[in-house]
Amino acid sequence: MQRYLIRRILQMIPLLIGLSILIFFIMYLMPGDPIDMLVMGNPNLKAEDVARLKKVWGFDQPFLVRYWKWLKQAVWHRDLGFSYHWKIPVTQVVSERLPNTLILMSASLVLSLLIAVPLGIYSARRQYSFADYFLTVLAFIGQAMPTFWFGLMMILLFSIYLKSPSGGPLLPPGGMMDIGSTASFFSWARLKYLIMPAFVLGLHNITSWMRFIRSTMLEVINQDYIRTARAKGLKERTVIYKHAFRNAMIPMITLLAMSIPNLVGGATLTETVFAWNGIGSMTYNSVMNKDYSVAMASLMFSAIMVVIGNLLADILYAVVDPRVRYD
Amino acid sequence: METKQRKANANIKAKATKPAQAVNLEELESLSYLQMAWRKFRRHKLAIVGAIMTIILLILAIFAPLITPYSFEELDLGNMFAPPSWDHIFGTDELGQDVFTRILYGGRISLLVGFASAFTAVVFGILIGSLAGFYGGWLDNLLMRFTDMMMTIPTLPLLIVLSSLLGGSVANIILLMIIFSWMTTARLVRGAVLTFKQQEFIEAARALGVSSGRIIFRHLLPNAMAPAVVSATLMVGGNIIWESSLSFLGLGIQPPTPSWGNMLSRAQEYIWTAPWLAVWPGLFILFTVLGFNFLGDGLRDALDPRSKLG
Repeated sequence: MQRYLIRRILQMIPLLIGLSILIFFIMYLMPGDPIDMLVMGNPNLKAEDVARLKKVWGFDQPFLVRYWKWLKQAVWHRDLGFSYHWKIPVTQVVSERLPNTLILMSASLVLSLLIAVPLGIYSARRQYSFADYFLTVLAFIGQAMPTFWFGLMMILLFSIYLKSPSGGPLLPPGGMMDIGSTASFFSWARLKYLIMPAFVLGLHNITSWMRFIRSTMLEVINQDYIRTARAKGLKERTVIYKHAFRNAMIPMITLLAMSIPNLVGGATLTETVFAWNGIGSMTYNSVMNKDYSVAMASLMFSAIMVVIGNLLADILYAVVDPRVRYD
Repeated sequence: METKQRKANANIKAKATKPAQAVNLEELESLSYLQMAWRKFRRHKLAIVGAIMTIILLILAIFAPLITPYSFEELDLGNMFAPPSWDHIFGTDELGQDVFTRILYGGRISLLVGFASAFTAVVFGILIGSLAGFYGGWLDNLLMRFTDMMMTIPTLPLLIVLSSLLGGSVANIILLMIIFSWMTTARLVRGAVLTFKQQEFIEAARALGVSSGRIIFRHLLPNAMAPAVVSATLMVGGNIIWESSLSFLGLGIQPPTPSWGNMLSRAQEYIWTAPWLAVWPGLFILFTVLGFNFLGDGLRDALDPRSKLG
């Protein structure tokens, strides 16, 4: 097991290096560098000044040299460059936004589990009932739903049509807190901003997990040991939650880890729709502003999240299921 | 409570053990694979619903000029933000353009992007998958590691960067969709090729001196077609979502060419005054993707030779 773990973690390194070269190369192809942006804003700059600036900043060097410099700075000095849009170091931009994205993602995971697990168990216990068919149809619709449009429709429903008792919108259409708010994190004043984005981001997880729990529960419910448990005269609740559910949940752990890559992509759209100040909206804004050092950092962040998600899924799978061999 | 549960279980068992309708066995054996698949498809309710939905959309997109009297570019600035009415059944947008018309023409773009990218990506995936599966060894290793890496790439962030690099023309968007969607097919086809490669009929073909290319194209690929067709169908819907997401962010198809995504991108600004702008294009995306997903599900069951004719 230990050797398997070490090998899998070591395998991550060449993968991440390969990904970072690829991402750096794509950013290298992007037209214009920050100096060009500077020139556009200041027509008084002479051509030789521009050339000198490019030399000072190293923008005239070949691709591999620039990549090596970036890598060295990033790994040894934890320096990801300077954001030309926000006028602060990239690490500062990222560290301001990273907690917000992690909050959104974990809230979305928790909310998805809280919704998907009971509904999945319910449809398994009442297979072929009206509720089961209804949930199946909902799951199909949820799977086909474009995230950003679902966000728009939620805004339309909860921020425009539905009013709160005090007269304003029931839920705010975007942002992260009231301006100047000092409310604590778990207060309604903060949570009301989190509910819609977390639910929108979680929609695909909710629908696919619901279906998954339904089918694993059905598989487990028909096993002999469940019949034995019933024959012993155990309460239905005990049979379902203690004997069936625990076993059905084992594969859920890998599914949780596997959902991380999708969350990264989903967060980009969700954060943009709800003006959530996280890494996802940072990716979008930096590309639109041609702020390449920030874009590079956010692409690397997504890549690392995806790699970690896959690694976690593999490891948990091996830990949880004794039938998987590690060699 | 418990008796209900038992009853439900009994029902399931009754369903499971009931002999699969009185089908004439001799007649069954005389059916070809495709005839069999067609029969299974016809009896698959969701598949038929999906097929009908897809056909409706195709008709709307192809016959758009006959269905709507308006053009999708014509501005009518005296008639901005008209709510839905008999003249404009889905209302008009911020330029006074008829929303229904733009949806029909936008459907042409979305379906074109969906079909063209899915078809090409599947062909590419089949190529990679069959090469890797058939030749094995270092080639398999190389191609599959490449596939793995492409699957590890965070799709949406990279799509954002690449489409801002290439510019959002229809051809570029199709190209990007192809780059990011061939991998599942490659894996499926490789799996299928690996399974069939071991079987006697391939050995027999080899013993007869049939060339590798002929073995791949005549003997292996027809057997790997089923998963490829299914993943192509599901991919059409998936790529339509990707395209509309990109266009929504302003990086995909650029106005004045209408696409469901770019119609929604401006709709968010006007959602307070003209909510119909945000509703209709999204409903059409949902309808389309749902149709293709139903179709794909039905095809999966119909094309699986192990599934019973039920």
